Amino acid sequence: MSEHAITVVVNGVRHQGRVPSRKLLVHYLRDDLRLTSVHVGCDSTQCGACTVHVDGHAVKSCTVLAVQADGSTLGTVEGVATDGVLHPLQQAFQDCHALQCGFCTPGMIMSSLDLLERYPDPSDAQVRAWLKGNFCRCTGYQHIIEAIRSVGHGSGSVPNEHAGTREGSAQARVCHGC
Amino acid sequence: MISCEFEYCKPDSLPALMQILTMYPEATLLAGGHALLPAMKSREIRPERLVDLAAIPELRGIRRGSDAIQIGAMVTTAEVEHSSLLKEALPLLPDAAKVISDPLIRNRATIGGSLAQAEPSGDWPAIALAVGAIIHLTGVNGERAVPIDDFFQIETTPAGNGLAVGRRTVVARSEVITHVSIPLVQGEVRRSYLKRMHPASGFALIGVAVALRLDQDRRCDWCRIAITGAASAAFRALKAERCLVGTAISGEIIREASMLAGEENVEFIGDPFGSSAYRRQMLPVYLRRALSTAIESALV
Ligand SMILES: Cc1cc2nc3c(=O)[nH]c(=O)nc-3n(C[C@H](O)[C@H](O)[C@H](O)COP(=O)(O)OP(=O)(O)OC[C@H]3O[C@@H](n4cnc5c(N)ncnc54)[C@H](O)[C@@H]3O)c2cc1C
Ligand code: FES
Ligand code: FES
Repeated sequence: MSEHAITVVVNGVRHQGRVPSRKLLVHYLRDDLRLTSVHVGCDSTQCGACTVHVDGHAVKSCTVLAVQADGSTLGTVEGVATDGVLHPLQQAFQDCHALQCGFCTPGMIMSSLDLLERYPDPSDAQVRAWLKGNFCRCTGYQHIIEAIRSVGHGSGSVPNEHAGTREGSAQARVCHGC
Repeated sequence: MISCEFEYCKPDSLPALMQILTMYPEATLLAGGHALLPAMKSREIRPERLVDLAAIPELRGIRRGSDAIQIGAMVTTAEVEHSSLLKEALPLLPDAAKVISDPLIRNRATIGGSLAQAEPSGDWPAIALAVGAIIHLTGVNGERAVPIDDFFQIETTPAGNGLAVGRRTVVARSEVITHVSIPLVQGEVRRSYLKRMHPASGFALIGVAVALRLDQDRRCDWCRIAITGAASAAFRALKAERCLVGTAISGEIIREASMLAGEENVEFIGDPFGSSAYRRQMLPVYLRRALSTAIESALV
């Protein structure tokens, strides 16, 4: 089996390592880099608990080889807050009570950041369709959808106390190809 | 789950890939990996050598020529979904991409991989049939272009597991799909894709792609209808097509054509998610709806 030197930038930090070809990205991030927010749920491309960003887009890291990510820029939820201040989407998850056990949450955040880059003000239907790849076994999704919509600018069915404070938070992000 | 051990390499050009395939004709090509890696993790397949196509620039990009659109084999389903070029020139493709699996899988799964995989319930095979795509292949012995009508091979024994990896196309060992070209048909062409989605996997229990052209008198003078999820490979509903071509489109003719699709001479597949009888019955229903959606605005 071949072994490979890989270089990746994860949450802004450059890492060099050696990986056997069959090592999955999720295991590289968890075991080698100790980024344990990246969860293994189904291990079969269904649940999205392992969602991370590869070059800005959300993917299921249980279905990517670490060696495939060589040269890429990666993101996990550990890198989403800035100087201890939660990202508006993380804050919205807390405010809207969008997590219970929290197992799905890192994947939910990474997935919906990609959604908000592509659709800065997603409709209810767009959020629901997007979350097809992320399972939550606790919340029943309703509060997750509210949290995500509350960071879109000027969204509709958002509880009042959440509106305004998060307006525009997703605007600064670049929209790739839409 | 960890796959068996394998060798891995990532050539950075098409000639470099051909060199590798000359040395190792048994090598397995890795595109988005979203069919391959799950099957390797469950040890359903144990390839000895993976050749990653991700760094080959010749396999990338969506381009518009004078009479056709070219889509590189390594273009992802998400790139199709968000392509402004396709939204303008061939909106069926971005629209259909939206109902394929989930957005995270779409960020990895590629057009070339989906066509080479030729999943019996995959979406791209039917869509490629309906738009009359041409599949461009490069092998160690040269290049060839295969019309999509000759690309899939219907197996007599259906592949049970939805993710089983096997050869269901004419792609030979040591051959790579480089790109797909889609001829731009002149005139008022209407298209739609409608699927009954498996609620968990997202695959098509039945999927119907239609493309038809209407002349000034609203007669259909050109039409392609393709079905996925019904047989061991996507196929064209030729009886339904023949029924529509040359006729003025009416509700009655749509119903008649749709019924004919259920009589197509193919072996319908069945699994725990839908029996073969169910799929045979659903086909006319979905075809009727897909045709009505495609021509609705033309009838008013
Ligand atoms: C949970 C889940 C849900 C899914 N839901 C759907 C769905 O709703 N609809 C749907 O259509 N699909 C679905 N898929 C399948 C998914 O879209 C696959 O990823 C896709 O069919 C294969 O594309 P890939 O780029 O990942 O190919 P890979 O997995 O990398 O390769 C697949 C096969 O094609 C060969 N290959 C790849 N590229 C080339 C090339 N350029 N030339 C020659 N051979 C090549 C490989 O050697 C391999 O045999 C689903 C997959 C999963 C895991
Ligand atoms: S662990 Fe990767 S999708 Fe569930
Ligand atoms: S909060 Fe428990 S799985 Fe989502």
